[in-house]
Amino acid sequence: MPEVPVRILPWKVPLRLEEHPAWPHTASGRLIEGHAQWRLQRPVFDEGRCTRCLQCYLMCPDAAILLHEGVPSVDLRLCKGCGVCVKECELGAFRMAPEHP
Amino acid sequence: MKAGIQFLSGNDAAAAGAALARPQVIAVYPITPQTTLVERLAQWHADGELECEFLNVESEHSALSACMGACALGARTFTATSSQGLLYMCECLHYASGGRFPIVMVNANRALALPWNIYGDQRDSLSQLECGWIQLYAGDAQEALDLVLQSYRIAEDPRVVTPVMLNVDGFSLTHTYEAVAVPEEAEADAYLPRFSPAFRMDLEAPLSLGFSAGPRDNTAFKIAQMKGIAEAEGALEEADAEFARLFGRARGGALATWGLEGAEAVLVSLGTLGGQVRAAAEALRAEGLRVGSLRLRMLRPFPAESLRKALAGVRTVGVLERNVSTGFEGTVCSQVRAALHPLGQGTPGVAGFTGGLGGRDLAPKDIEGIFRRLLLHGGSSDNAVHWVDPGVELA
Repeated sequence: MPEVPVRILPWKVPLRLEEHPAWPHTASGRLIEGHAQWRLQRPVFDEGRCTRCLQCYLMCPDAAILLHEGVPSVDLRLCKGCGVCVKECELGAFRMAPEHP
Repeated sequence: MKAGIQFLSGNDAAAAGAALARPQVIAVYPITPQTTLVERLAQWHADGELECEFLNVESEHSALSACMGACALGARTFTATSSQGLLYMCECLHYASGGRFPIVMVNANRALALPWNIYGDQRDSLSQLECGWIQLYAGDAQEALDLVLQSYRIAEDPRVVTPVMLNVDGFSLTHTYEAVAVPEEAEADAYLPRFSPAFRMDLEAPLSLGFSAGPRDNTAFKIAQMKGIAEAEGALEEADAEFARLFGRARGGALATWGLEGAEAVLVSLGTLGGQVRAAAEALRAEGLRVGSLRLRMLRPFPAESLRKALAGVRTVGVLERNVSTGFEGTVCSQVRAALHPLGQGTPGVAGFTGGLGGRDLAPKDIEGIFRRLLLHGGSSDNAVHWVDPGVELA
């Protein structure tokens, strides 16, 4: 499994029409519409239970699971708090914790 | 496909125009009455005369989706459809215009089911006026060929970057034959250089294509799209002027007019009906009646300012279309009415006429009858649809 470095390019909200892109395409890695603010709960990862099967990495709909030397972690800039990782991980390495306890 | 004067159907001519544009990807699904256009292109491709990727896809939805994908990679693309196929593309039509993919598509105008009908009318494309595409209508086979080439010029114009739907009337244009001047390949190449995309993705510069834009950003994208398509009428005029310089014939831009000078009544139409309207106007002018014809070559962007200039001072304007917006009036009639309204006190009276649905032929006497009615009664005081030769007695 190749490790892809995640590089999020800055996106400055244009204030004038001339600065606004004319079409909805941009260089990959620019986060136009972040979903992190949707989150009511966040995944908490227990590395001790993880066997590096990478189901979470494959199944995360927002590509918010990053790999560092084969070990998953959650990028909370990308995570919308859906909890798919909890459902997918049969080993219970993920649980959801309230975002605003 | 040989250059020079050829005896071609409307579909043959449109296919010749498409081949001369050298699209790198053609993705199509056949449907009557567009089928022979696709057959020509497929034959030329099979014979090695047309170098491109020719994708025989499983649906119109896929045809346009494939064109978008290819266009995103910087390829010039072509597709063609008709009627139910156009409607099956509907979701992708908005995608293509919002994504600013400068695809050129020929639509063979045909009735919509139900009742099932494979013959010509204009309800298919007129039902898609709001999908963000430039809409052109050809009046004859030569115009179909010429407008395919001009369509690429305006679609790919960096000020416009918007797909074009070129409409050709089913059967009355797609399947009728006339002498057509087919340009040499080198001439067409001189007119239409290689596609130079405004954006394209590749491995070195990956793009995130078609991202979301929520309540904060959505309006600005739509304003940008509106500004782009608004440039298309001027781009068409420029494309036509350059066409005239290279090929020695001009199409004339958004409007084709005849006999407007001193006209009391003008009948507006689209596509092949324009030829019939002009012939009727010529016959009535010979009798001394002051009538004229205005054929709209472009319906999106709507050439409102040009229309006001052309029709200011005319007493009565009729609109004849092979279409009706069920529950109101003819769609083109509404557009013309709305465009003329800013003329204020001098606004011509407008009356809407619907006929020729589902391939029903209109005769010269029908069109002369419309002109006589316009001269006698002026515009309507309501939005009534006047049915032309409906084939049954109306109470």
